[in-house]
Amino acid sequence: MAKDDISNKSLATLLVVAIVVSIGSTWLVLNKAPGLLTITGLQSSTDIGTVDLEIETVGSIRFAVNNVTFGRGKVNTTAGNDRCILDTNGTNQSSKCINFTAVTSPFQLENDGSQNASVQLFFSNDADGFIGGDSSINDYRYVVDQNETDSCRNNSGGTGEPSASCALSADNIECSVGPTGWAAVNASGGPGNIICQVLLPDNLADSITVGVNISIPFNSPAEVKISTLTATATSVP
Amino acid sequence: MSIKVWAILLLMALLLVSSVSAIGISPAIKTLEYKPGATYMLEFRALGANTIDVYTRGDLAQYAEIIDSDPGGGPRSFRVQLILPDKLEPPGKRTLLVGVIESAPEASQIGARAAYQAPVFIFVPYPGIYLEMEFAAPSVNVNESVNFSIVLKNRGTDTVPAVKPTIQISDSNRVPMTVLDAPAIKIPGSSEGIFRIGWDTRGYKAGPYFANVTVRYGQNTMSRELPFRIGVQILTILNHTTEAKAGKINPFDIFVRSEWNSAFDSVFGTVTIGDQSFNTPTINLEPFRDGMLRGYWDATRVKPGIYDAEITVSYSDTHAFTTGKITVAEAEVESPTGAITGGFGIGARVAVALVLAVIAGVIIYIRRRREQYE
Repeated sequence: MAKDDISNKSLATLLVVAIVVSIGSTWLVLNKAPGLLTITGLQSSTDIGTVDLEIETVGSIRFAVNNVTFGRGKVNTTAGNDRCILDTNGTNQSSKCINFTAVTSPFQLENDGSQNASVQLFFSNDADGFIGGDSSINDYRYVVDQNETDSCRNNSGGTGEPSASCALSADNIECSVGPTGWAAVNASGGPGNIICQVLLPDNLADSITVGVNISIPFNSPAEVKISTLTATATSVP
Repeated sequence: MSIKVWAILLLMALLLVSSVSAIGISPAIKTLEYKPGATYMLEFRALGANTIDVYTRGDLAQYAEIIDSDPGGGPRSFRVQLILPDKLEPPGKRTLLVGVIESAPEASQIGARAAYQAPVFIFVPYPGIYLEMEFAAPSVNVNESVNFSIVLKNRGTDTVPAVKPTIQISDSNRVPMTVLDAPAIKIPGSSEGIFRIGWDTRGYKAGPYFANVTVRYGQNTMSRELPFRIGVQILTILNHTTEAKAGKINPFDIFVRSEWNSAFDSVFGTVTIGDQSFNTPTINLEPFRDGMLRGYWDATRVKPGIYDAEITVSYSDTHAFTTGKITVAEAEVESPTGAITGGFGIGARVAVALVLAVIAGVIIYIRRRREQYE
């Protein structure tokens, strides 16, 4: 056996740890799940045997994908290139970006409660705050899409006609989800723009995606870049 | 244990750290009655994340106070005390948003966090009488009763002494067929009256109908119209594929519509074209919905032309049948370069030939050089 190989003892230890962790995770899930939907029962004292059943509404959303990391890299400034563009559709211009990681998973938001909810979104910083450098070149944009067909409904209950020009607002009831084309992020404070008028809680249609697109200029400061997007859901009747 | 094993354990632990974030609140929505000067103690449960902050927003937030024993903690119960003022202007729907938000993710380039707001609605009554109506006209199947529902909410401060609804039912051509009514009732301020009016559809044909409700109170009236249907256990074939390509396997779609107010389970189609017959997979069809059945027709040995198609859609121990034509066109032939013949001009073909010639030249050159060295 080579010196660097893992011994049988170590493998056995790993196996035991894996089993313990697996059982522990199952226990955790089983113990957490009932807390998501509470059903309380109280039998009345009449002879009829009436059962009072109260089902509480639960508003809950979750980011199934809650981070995007393009990794470390730099702009390839040869041949007069002045920027590197990255997005969550896998865009990673190899000739203009050096060492960055291609990302193909946008943020994924799901309504895992029992109530319809409108969803708003805002970002902690804009292109200048997040990326910096030449403000005529830097860009920090986002786009929203249905992850499961017809997850979002417009205010009149329809599925809307998402298009590149479908920018949502409180008055625009025709669009179910938006923006459906890349738009500059909103960093002017929460809860932000409406991105989905009514996100359904149905298991097969309750999920949207938020993609991001960044343009890094050649003179963006070398530092750790951090940005946070906040999705706020509000129950709707 | 070696460092490598610890490293693997650490990796496993990192993998087990969920990359999802979640936040929730229960109840998710609440409606309260406006009482001047009243104090409400509202109970909530924050769910999901390990670090949750609670906040209030909305036009009633100034009257609310959060009572939270573990600010910034994990899932827990908390209360919101709402002390309503003696007078709230203007009247109408007012909202308190009780929100929960998870903390910002750590060590993410672009991270996401979630927040959830449970609205607490309070309706401040309008002076006088202010009626709002909710009307429901559900579809049924033949010989069943339609149970119309009318909910009248008095959003005003004064009592409506007598309110009486009348429902006129019309057929699809708006020809009145019958009139239904209910006895008048009194609706005090900030309360509601509910009417349930049944209509026996025995003797009436299946199809679309309209229900027009008119509510009279004093000198005022309000009305609303809704469509509904009497369903019949029939499934209609709307359309089907009419074009196909020779020399390939073609999708064949059958478009169907349910005329029934119940779900059809296990609906499937059988298509016969010439001596070939094939089935589609089964689908379930919701009440009054359209659906598509897709099968595949093997036309690899079929010549161009027009063929008869017999289409049978089976459902609920019966079937729908139709016949139609399907036109089989000449298949598109692909060239060796993958381009569809006719899609590219002579210029493109010459360019491809030149590229191939250059490649051949380079190979010959390299071989000769190698031979010279050897």
